Amino acid sequence: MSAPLLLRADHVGVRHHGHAGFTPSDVSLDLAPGEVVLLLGPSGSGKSTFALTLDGLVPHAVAAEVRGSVTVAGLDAGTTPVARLSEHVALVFQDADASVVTGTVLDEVCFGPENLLVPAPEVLARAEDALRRVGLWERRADDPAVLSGGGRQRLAIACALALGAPVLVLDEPTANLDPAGIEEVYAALRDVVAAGDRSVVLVEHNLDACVDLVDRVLVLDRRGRLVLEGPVRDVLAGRAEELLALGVWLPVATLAALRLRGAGVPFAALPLTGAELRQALDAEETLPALTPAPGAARVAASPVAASPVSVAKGAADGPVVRVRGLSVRRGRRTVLHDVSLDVRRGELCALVGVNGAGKTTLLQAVAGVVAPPRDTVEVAGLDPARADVRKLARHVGFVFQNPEHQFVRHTVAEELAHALEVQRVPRDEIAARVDDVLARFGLSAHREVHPFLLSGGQKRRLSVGTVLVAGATVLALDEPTFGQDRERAAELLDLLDQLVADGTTVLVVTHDLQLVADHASHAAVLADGRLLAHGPAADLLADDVLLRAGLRRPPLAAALSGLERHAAWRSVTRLQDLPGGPPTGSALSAAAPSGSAAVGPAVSATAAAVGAGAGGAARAGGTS
Amino acid sequence: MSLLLDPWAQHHRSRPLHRVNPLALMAAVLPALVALVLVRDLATPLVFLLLATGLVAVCAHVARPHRVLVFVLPTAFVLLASLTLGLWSAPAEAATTPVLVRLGPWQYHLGTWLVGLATSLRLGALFAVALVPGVSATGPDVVRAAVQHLRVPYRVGYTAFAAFRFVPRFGHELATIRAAHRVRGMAGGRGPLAGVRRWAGYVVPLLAGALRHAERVALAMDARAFGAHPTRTERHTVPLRPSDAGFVAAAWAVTAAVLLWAPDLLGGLMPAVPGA
Amino acid sequence: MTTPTAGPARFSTRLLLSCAAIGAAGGLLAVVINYLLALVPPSPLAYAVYTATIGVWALGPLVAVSLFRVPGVGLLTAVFAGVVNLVAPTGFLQVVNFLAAGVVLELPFLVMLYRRWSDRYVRNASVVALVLGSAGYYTSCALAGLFPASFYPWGALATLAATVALAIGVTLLAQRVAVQLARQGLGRRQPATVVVAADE
Repeated sequence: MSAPLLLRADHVGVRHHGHAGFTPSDVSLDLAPGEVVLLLGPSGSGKSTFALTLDGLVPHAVAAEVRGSVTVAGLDAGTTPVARLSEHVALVFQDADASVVTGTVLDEVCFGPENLLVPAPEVLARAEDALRRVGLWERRADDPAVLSGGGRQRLAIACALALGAPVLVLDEPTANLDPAGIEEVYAALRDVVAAGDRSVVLVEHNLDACVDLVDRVLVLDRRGRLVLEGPVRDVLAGRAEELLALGVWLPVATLAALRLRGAGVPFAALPLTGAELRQALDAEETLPALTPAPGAARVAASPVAASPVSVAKGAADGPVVRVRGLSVRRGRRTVLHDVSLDVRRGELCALVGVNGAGKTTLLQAVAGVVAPPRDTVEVAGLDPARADVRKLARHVGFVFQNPEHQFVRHTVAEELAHALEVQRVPRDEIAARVDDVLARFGLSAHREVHPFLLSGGQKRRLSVGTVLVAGATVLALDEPTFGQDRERAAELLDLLDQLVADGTTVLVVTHDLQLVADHASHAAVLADGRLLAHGPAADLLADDVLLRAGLRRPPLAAALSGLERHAAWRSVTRLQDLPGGPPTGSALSAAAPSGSAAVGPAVSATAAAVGAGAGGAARAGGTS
Repeated sequence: MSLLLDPWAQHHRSRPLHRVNPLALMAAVLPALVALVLVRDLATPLVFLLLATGLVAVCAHVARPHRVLVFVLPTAFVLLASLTLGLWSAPAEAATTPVLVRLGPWQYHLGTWLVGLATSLRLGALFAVALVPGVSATGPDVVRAAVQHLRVPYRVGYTAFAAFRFVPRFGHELATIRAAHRVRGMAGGRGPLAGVRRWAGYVVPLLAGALRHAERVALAMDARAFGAHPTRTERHTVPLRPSDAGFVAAAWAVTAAVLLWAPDLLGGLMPAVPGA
Repeated sequence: MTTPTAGPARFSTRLLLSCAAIGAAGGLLAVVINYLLALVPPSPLAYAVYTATIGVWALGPLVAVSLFRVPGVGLLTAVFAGVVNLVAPTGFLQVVNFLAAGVVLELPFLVMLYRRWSDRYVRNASVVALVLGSAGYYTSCALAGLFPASFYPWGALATLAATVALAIGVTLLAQRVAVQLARQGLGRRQPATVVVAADE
């Protein structure tokens, strides 16, 4: 039997200009109708680039050298124009904002078919069908800019559907979304897949969100070669340890099960979803004792810290950040109401809440990015409302969501020296401190490079470096893992853990509640500009205050809170708190990637994930 | 008062001017604009100013935030500018006209004001006439009309649509860049010079951000078959109807009539402008 | 579905959108300058200031020319800058102005049949184009009778001096901006940076 050939990639390799190697270097794929294929691989393995070759954007719109061949509906993608290929393969990008061309939702969906000279009545019919499928038909007259992040990404999916292409390629469609947005997008995608008329190629790190709709998994290694391929359960559950060794992330349920296996919990098959994990655990009569009792006072989460900073020690000092009765108005709207908050030395305090809850406003007020009213904020002994900007910058570092916003100079070294020059530090001392930070952050080889030409992970490290070089004792980060893949996110969090262990106070705004569970010592929950709760992270994550704030439980907590047996396990939120250790040490020690050996501050992401009971790996933006 | 229009705002099609093809609107006012540069009397610009403002008031819908701009500003400009423009331009004859204001040895003559008024009326009228297509046609409709009737390539036209979308982005980007510069201790210094330096420092990051965004948008447009064919399906047509030709003909006829008869019929009611 | 017949376009979508981005910035700059200049009391002096500051309007198109060095880029960027002015109700006249400015900007390159793109030629050509543009604006003001006899000769000479000085200043600024953008991997012969950044 021969199914009609939709899309075939044959030993595809891509080399970007100015790069030495091919990433991906050798990937083959045969896509069957109605099939959902997930592409996995560590950072830099070329997954996104491969996705772009499937409709010819590489090499037609993005100049690059391509070897091997991509055949789409019998057409050679290397020689057929992108416009022609887009009738057969439709793309959805990570950044939904960057795909909006027109002024209304309806015009946006019509844009593609109109380019293909589809007659107007059929354009409208297609648009209506596509918008109904993603639940946006009622909003057809709206400006795409007023949609939520999840709404804009659903619109992008509708645009792809309206092209009429039988193949949908999605490149990290939820990397920029909050948990509610991720849920929305996958609900829409699930409907599309259920209809069975589209094949999907998905590049996604958030396995917890997508694993239940995937048929087949392709795994690339760090050099961009296809190393594993098979049905989703065979690969993710059957070859879990190999995947970890490759630096590929796993669903949190699978990671939890791997850990529990080490403690003697038998699993016939590794679970992929929270529900499967719950069933497996409920099937057991008894489970081993939990390591630290959940809810008890805990050390600041720090897998790499040699000497963990205890909360008790932090409490001995006065608060480093002290907020009293802070209200902030924007125009006529009050975006923060009467917030009071103390953060002590060596705490990692996460500010959580849905979009528009006031998290970033609070963070910006604390760091003095936007001057707060006088006498409402005290940070490192300064009032941001009065303090000189330069003096404030020495004590409080603010890291932007987009690291590019941080950069003001022309080379990496200048960028690091900038803060010291502003403070008129002697030149030889500047040179020494810059060299030190370059080495610590694995940027020594790039000191003369323009900051914008660094890779994503390097940019993020540099942005943190620029604020730390001046010796800031308080660090404020706005969505530091937004748009980053798991590996880079883990790298950054390991760095933060180390800073916290050294006594830096860290405030972080995030949507990622598994991150909060695994790394934060404290959390503050905001909703509608008010502080709903503030306390140790473990207590808050087990509390229903999250739900009241419109948030979801982090994946592990969501899976375990529904257990029918094992009452003590229902409040576990961190993988670290599960009994058992790293699954198989020997296989994993080899995983330290040579490519990122320069990552100074911490062990490599993979090793950290596993060493810390996969603490870093388990992060997930949403629940599944 | 908002100084910017939403280019995508839907106009009230009920008012007749919004149903005229944008190209016809432009063609209709063009002779009047040229004439206003060249005339020198008081009556002609005054008539054009009144006609244009009246036309907009009756036949177009002007959004509330722009009413001051459309109905008050041209007249306010005429009155204000008439006071200042004459100071430089008044010929010697003006000194023989009655004195309006006396401040010690300095005298402001009626002739001085009339000379200024002649110029300011023309500029105010130019402004008012240019507002006719300005308030009647939306930016995207102008672009569509240019694509459909002036052979402007649609790829250029649709890129212009994307350009409209860049405008609000600049505001957000600027706010972020300013915050970043503040955080990085770049906001130091006071006074106009530091201000200029500060703003100059925003130019490159702003453009760089816009260019990166543009590259992403370009990729997304390519992926949606942009430029696949020499033409594309157009759901929003901006037709040229016989009524558009009628509108242009009427406008030209009115322009000609004003130019021919306004100076003679109304000139007698107007004071003589010295030197004109 | 018909077979696409459009050949490889001379302007890639990427180049078009890049011109639009620079044009939008330049167009907004013009909107801001216009509102600011509207505060200057109308007088021959004000129109002399407008004449001299024409170059600032052209900043966007000049940056695009310096950055991309492709025939037609100046005109295209000017058109986008003009179209963006439609966000102001008075923008209609601006579209015409920018269209004219774009044409003038192309002239010095057109006379060399678009063969010369050296830094030096681009610099000189930009200055010449700006002075030409100012001359055109000055002429239309003069035709409208905005400059009285008393404006000559000193007013005119001062205007000329200011125009040339600003033309040189704006050109140098545009080239500097273009160089800094190119250093970030944006512009001319660079492949698109977006994907590389997204995928390392």
